[in-house]
Amino acid sequence: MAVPGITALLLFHYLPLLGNVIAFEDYQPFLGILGSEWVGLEKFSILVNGDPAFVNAVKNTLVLTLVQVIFVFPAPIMLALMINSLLSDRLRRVVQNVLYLPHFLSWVVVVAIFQQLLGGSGLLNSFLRSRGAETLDIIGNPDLFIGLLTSQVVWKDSGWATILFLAALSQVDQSLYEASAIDGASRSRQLWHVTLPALKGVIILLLILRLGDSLNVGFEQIILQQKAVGSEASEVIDTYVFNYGILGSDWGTSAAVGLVKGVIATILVVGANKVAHVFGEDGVYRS
Amino acid sequence: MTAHDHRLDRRRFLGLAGGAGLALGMGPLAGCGRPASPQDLGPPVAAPTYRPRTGLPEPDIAGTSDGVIPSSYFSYPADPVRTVSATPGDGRPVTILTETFSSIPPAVDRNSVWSNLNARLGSPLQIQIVPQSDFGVKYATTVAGDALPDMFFASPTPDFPRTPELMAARALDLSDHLAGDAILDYPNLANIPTACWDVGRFDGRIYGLPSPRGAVSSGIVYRRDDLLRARGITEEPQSFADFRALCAEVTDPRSSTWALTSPALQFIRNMLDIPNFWRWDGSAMQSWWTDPGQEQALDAARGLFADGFVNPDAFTASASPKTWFGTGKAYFTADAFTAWPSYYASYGDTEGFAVEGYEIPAFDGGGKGTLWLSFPSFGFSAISQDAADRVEALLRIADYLAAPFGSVEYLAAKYGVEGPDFAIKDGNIVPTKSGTAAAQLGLKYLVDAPQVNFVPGDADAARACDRLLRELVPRATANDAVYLYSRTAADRFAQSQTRFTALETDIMQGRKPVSAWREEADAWWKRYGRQMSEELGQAYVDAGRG
Amino acid sequence: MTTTATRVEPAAETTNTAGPGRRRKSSRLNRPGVPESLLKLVILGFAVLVVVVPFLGIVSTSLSSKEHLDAEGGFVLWPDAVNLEAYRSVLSGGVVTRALVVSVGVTVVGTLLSLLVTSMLAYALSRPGSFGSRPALLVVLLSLLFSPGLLPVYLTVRGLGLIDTFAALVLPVLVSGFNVIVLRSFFMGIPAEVLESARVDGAGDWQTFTRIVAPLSKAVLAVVGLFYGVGYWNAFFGALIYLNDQSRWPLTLVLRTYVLNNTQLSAGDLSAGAESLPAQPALQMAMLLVSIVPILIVYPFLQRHFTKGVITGAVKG
Repeated sequence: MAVPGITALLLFHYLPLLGNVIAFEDYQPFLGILGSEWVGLEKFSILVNGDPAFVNAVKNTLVLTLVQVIFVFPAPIMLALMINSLLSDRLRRVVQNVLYLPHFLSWVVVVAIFQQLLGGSGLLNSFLRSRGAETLDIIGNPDLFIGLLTSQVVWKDSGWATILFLAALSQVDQSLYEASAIDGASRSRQLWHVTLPALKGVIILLLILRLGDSLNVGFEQIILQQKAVGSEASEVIDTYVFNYGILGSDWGTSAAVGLVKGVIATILVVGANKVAHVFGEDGVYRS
Repeated sequence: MTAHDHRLDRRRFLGLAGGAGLALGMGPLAGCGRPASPQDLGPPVAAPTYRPRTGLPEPDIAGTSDGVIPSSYFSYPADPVRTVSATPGDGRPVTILTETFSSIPPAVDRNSVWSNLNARLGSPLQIQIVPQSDFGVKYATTVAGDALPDMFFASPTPDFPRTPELMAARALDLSDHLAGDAILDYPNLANIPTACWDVGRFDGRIYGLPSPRGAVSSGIVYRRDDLLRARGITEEPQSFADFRALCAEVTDPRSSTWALTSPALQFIRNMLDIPNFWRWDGSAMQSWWTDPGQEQALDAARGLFADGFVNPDAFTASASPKTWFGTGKAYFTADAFTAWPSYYASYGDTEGFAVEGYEIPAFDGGGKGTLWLSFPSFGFSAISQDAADRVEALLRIADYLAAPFGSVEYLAAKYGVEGPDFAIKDGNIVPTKSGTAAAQLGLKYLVDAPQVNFVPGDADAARACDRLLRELVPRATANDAVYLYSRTAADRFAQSQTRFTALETDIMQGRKPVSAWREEADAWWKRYGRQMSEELGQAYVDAGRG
Repeated sequence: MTTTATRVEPAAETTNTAGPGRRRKSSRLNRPGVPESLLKLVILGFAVLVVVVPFLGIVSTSLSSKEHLDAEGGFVLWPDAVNLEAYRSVLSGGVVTRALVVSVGVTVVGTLLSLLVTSMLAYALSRPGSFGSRPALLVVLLSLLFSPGLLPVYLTVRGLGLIDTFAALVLPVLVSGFNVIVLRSFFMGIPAEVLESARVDGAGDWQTFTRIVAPLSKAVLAVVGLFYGVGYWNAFFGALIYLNDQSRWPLTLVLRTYVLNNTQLSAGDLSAGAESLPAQPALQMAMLLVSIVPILIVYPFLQRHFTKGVITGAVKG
């Protein structure tokens, strides 16, 4: 039964992974993988040559990852809890249907909307200006950039992410709530002893998988806004590789960085999984 | 007479091509089946002969004989001439890969422009059109998969830094058909000025068909003459300080009006006579980045932005300078000459709408600045080696597509069929609703006719544009390294450009001090700049220009 | 993208039940307090507002005239008049309708295939001790962590002869390791006794899967199906590099040309067609809405499956 799935993965994922050998070549498409010049570890030099722009990119990536895990990850959980506790079924459905809408917009559109609303000549500031008030520098402000990125991600994807948690919550047996109510439990105790345990497995699984993805912090979203805030505030690993690698058609460098990111992600996931075991959870897999 | 000389590099890669030793398990990944064996190249050839077409409708103002300043027409000639007598195609389909800056046209079975063109060409065109922002990726996969179509837009670097080697490996050497007088078999192609052909020449051979641009793509600063005159402002700035004062006068944030759509950095650089990328000073190639005037230029631009004369959203992704300028939210904007007619086209309905361009004063007054002459060509297209057996037919098709303004073929290739696709009203070509979308076939990036200055419906505007061209072009400075090949530049120029542009925006927005520029420029010079300068200098001399 | 893996045990016994009358009483005991309700409503209300207002802007912009948009900077919250020009322009010429058909076809076929293959794989991996399950799990997990580059995937697809076929839009992305792991987690929560009894009754792997496991997993299958569906619907990159004919492009790729290519006509073109063409922002927004509409139609149907997926049983904490 596993055969079709594994075959698809092997064929379309692992076979091309062999192509990551171009991380060790000066790959040119018209020469092909076999025909391109072998350069050993030269393409990895981007990581160790101490370019301050790269170091800055790494720092930004880590900061953004941390902020996203702390703020972006819990948002859909809280939203799901709130929606789930709405008494009216219809209200619940309406709220959910509205909140997931932004997920379908591409980043180009989302960034454009934020800029139209909050930009220097956008709706908010035009309104303030016409009233003689001070304008707010939101879009072009490097200090606010992390906050801006985070709020964009929350706006765009939180509603969508609630789907999973709501589905999980819908599986919770109602009789458990009744039983705990009979036992005199207050609502917050119900939350703690019935609802959250039901979600614990999901949350931990998703958190571990999120860590596996942690070095990818929103390439398209960031590259659209780099010019407005400057590279110091906005450069992350992926944009750095794009700006200084891909634009010169340096396929080897981007493959090299991809390999390194994969190794780091593996370490993070394995580590987090072990931590989960310590807490008695199954995590993603059991050894 | 070589335009590009990298024979040394090619020998080197030939030696290593057999090398890698990763034979096993690579099956489908080694899909690029044919090894890269460059064709037997002959010696460098002469450039195609330039023979301007005769018998075309008389322009209202004639352009220069070298094609740099285009002819001006106030209306489309009433009797278009026929420039191609025989059906060019050979009946077999022609596959094409090109890019577009606009939306995707309807498919050929619902596209009257496309099907009409197929009929006239005698060979159906199978056009793959890719959005310009994604073209690099599509091009790379097409090359890697050895699937290049008959004719393909060969994007100028940086999407393909090893273009000469790529051409030698995959494109057809057209020298025998186009060098010297051979091109006279294709009279519309011969109508393209000589300088444009350099874009497609590598190792002294001819691979590419150009899309001529010339001076009209040069950047100037436009002004809303109607709005300025309404305020009683008629003088032109004689120095940067004048320009700055002008900006201060017209900026009014409360009504969401700012003087500038961007800090006009290029305009300021022109005032300071900073080189146009590279300048040959008689013995070496000087880079614009290391020019001492840059700091002054950046400081001036920074000041404009800091004092609030520039639209605050100038650096955001949703900046729309054309709209701001056209609707009067900005008084000045930086754009190319080619935008002149399109401003009238989009906003000409506004009462009294009038645009003009500024001459360039010297920064400190008392003289004139220098315009940067834009590249002779937009890009070039090449023909795949697989199509070698029908190259004459393909060149005849290119000849058709390069038919000049005022010809029947020009209308067919760019607008379609009179009636369903466009109408000629008052000397202006007016596409129908369906005709506009249908005509976006991207063929003008394969090969194009020389540009003309056509501002229909407003002879004064056309004259104004022509006057400014004639005023600025004679003193303009060209990029002395245009179409010269340097391996370091091919590999590193794009990155350098990215770095410097990021620094520019940081400085102009006040995030970094102006002094950061000198540091960066010096570091770049040591790392890549000096080498680029040497290689380009050598190429310049080899090309017989120095 | 998040998915769920609840350790729900669909058919276990309950230890505590209360009759309907009791339910009413206990819910009264636990009605949320006023401040709590208020806070909840304020937060949700804010969330809804923050989404509705920009979308109102999108709709309004798509309906506005060029003059209004030019005057207001390209994005408005309220149209000056209801002007369907942009929609008419977008839907004429057959480009959009054709792309819509392609998108729907690829999404439906792709989602069904993906769901089938993924759930089969997840089920196989959820039975510990089954042959090869450890290495297979490793294969799935590692696929999440290491991504092949663009060109090698392209070359593989080409090597298999799939260029210019619709299969190229489905097969390379058929299995998402993420969804496999999530489904597997869910399947592992199905108690062994249930499957044991099926086996005792003579059911093979496949029958157990189709007759017992699948019906119990409707909620999570609906969710994973939704994720695959949206993934296929939104995908454009595969079409860009694998398809050679833009008349076979899916809707999202066509949309991209409207949204990314800001110059409506490049400078060299002439057009006094200003009066005949709708404004660029209106076109972009209209295009956007047209591409979202099919999902808006489908989602409520699926939603029923996972909100109504109430299954009696205890939840393992």
